[in-house]
Amino acid sequence: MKINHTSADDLQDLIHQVNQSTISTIGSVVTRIIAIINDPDATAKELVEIILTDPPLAANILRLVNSAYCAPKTKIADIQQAVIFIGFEALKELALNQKVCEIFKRSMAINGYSRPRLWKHSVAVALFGKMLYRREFVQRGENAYALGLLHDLGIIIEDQFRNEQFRQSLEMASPKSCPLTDAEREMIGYDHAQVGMALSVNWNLPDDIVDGIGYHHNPLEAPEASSGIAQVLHIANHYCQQNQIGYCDAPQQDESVYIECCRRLNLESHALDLIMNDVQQKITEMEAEGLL
Amino acid sequence: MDSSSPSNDQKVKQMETQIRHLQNELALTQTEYQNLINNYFDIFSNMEKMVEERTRELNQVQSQLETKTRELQIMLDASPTLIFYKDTSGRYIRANRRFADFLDIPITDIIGKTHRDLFPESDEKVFLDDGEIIRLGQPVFGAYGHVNTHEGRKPIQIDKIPNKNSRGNVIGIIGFATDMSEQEKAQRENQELQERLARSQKMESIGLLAGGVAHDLNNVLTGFVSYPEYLLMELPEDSPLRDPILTIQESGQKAAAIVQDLLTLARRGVTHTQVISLNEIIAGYIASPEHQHLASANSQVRVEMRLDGDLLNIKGSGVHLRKTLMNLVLNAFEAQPENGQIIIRTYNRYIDEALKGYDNVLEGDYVVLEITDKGIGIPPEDLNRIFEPFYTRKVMGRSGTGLGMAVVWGTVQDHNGYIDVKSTPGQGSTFRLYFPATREAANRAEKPVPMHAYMGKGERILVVDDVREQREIAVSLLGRLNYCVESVASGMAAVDYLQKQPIDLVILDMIMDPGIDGLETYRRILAIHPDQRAIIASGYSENQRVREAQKLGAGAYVRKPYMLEKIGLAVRRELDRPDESHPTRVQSLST
Repeated sequence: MKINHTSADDLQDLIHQVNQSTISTIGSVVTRIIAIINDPDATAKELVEIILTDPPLAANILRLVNSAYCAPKTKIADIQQAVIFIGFEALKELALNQKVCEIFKRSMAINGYSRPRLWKHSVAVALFGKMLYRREFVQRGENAYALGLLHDLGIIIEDQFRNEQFRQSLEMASPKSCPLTDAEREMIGYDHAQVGMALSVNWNLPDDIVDGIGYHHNPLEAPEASSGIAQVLHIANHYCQQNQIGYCDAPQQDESVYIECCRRLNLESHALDLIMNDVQQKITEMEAEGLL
Repeated sequence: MDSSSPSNDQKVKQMETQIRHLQNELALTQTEYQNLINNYFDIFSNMEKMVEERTRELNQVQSQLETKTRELQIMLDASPTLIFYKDTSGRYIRANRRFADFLDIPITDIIGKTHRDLFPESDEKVFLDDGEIIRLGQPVFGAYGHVNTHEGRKPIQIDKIPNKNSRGNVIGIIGFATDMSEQEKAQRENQELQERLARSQKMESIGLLAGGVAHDLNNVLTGFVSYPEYLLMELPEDSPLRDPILTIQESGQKAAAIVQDLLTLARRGVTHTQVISLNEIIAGYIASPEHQHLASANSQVRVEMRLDGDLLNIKGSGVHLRKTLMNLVLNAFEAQPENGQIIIRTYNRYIDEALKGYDNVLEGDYVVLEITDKGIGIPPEDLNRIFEPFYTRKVMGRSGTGLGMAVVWGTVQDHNGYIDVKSTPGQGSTFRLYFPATREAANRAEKPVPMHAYMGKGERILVVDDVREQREIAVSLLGRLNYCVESVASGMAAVDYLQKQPIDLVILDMIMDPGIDGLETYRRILAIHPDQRAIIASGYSENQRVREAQKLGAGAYVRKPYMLEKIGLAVRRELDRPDESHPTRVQSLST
């Protein structure tokens, strides 16, 4: 989907605005955590160092690790101990989760959209994508998790920096006739997938995450190298919305794209159901602990 | 797949999927677990390295600390000062060796104690400022006090400074204490020494003064003593002038006694080479009319003698010793007017350690003359002055000349002896006179040396004397001994003579007036002939100038008058002395 010149300039302007805001500092930490996730030689020590340079993040992580969700026998007092207790892999996820979560903090509800709801949706998509990779493709799916958390980043950006047009887009979107992306393009000049893609490029995130964000509504058009993860994200996104873990009440996607994705990935619906069950269970647990 | 029961078929498929999912998770978890283990291993090995590093650092710091502590203790221990550290509650937390020695307990017994524990009965004043120093953070210097130690009460001086940590808070006290016993003792000794010196100088100067007037006075007094006698013979028995003249006579006699004492003082320094038995002197004195008279006048006083039969001899002047004894006995009589007792003792005494008393007695063999009375005693404040001339507690003029004790003192000095006086007021006094003992026999009958032993072999001798008779005697005596003798009348003439020709031996009169004396002459001769042999002759006692001449290399000192054997032996000995061996100490020859 092409963006016209004026809108492209506006998008560049938007990215610039974001980089002037507090979100950019969050972005740099997120980028570094994702870099660690993608580096097989990265050590827990490097992750611990990143976390320690961000005291609010470290405090958040310690709070979570000491919560009933993890339930350590003795209080965990530093990140080093946290690595040992919950493991390197889990800590990567937790750190990323917490850092991205900071972007979703402020609460506002309009037309079935609110930031906390969008965050819950993102976490669910992330879990779904990761589980799908693990259970169906026997792959770690680390970037699927990161992608899940970040795929709707564009919405937040629009909400914060193009608030009026975004409201109008939400009002304009409707389940049957008008998907949100169309409304956005109409009202803002580009959609949230394009915003998220532009920002992730700016943040130097890995290509599959960039493409995953950019093509999460039209995965069949994604470049060959990223088509798999884009399709998985599309399935996860679609399935979570279908199961009422969504940011708005409008399932705006073309059902045919979803069916084609499942076909290409050779996924059967009962397998997705099994995964969805586990995701929902996990989300419920997290909600009960107040983690969302 | 069973199409007949789709729900069953569905269930089986679902279970298969579930199993597949679980298998996949398991496979992944396995690799993840491996990763996890690797990660943990990294973390642990890192930690281990860190622990090792930290331990090494700690060990290093500890050993540095130990070294520093040891160095500090060595420095503290090397200090002659007593050094201690206390905490704010006044407990000793560190002390040096000197401090422990002072208390005679191990250092470990000091740590943790307070001054109350260590110095229970001591002056509190020097300890009490601890609290103030801690409170104000100001040092206190030079606090003086006394503490009781195992060696008795000791004076100490303490400097105390607050011990502050890096933040400037006072965490205790560092103290430096000095044991002042030695300083106080040295000060006391110095004072005593000065007093003794002053005393000695006073006696010397009075002796000189007395000597100066005594001769003239003696001549003047002759008239007062002999003329009244003559007058009394001429005067009628009933003349009213008899009594006044008798008084003049008595006064004259008394004056003569004083002059005698003065002369004794003046004659100090005479060589006392007579070998004397002190017991014989005592016996002689006791038998003398003077003593008999004294004893009968004080018949209530018993005189007891305890003389050591094996008493060693001393070298000295019998006249002076007898006078000394008489003065002491007289003194003892006067100290106890009623029912007294005088004990005269003699005994040998070897002093192997310097004694302290009125005089300090050096190590050696001594003969002690001890005279004890049971009289009134001498008050301590007077003890130091009793030997001064004309110093007396008695009514002046009642008896004695006022010079008696000065004679005693001078005599003892001249005999290289010492006096020790112990006296308790009301109980009596003891005078102990220490004279260096000699092993020579008393009144040794000297065998005349055969003349051929000191005959000359024609050696050339120059006699230097300002008195013509003396020159003539010397020349004739030495001529008889086969020497080739020349004579000159002054030191300058001797120098001139020796510039023209060498001579084997010079006989130098010490005192030549006018002109240069013997010593100066000898010096000038030595400038011409550095190895010139010489003998010194003098009518006066061996004095400082004689000894100086002997130091320069002169041989024997021959006392005038010249006598054949005496001078012959001296000349022979000097001439026969091997070259280059100047006698370091030469016995003076005398009859």
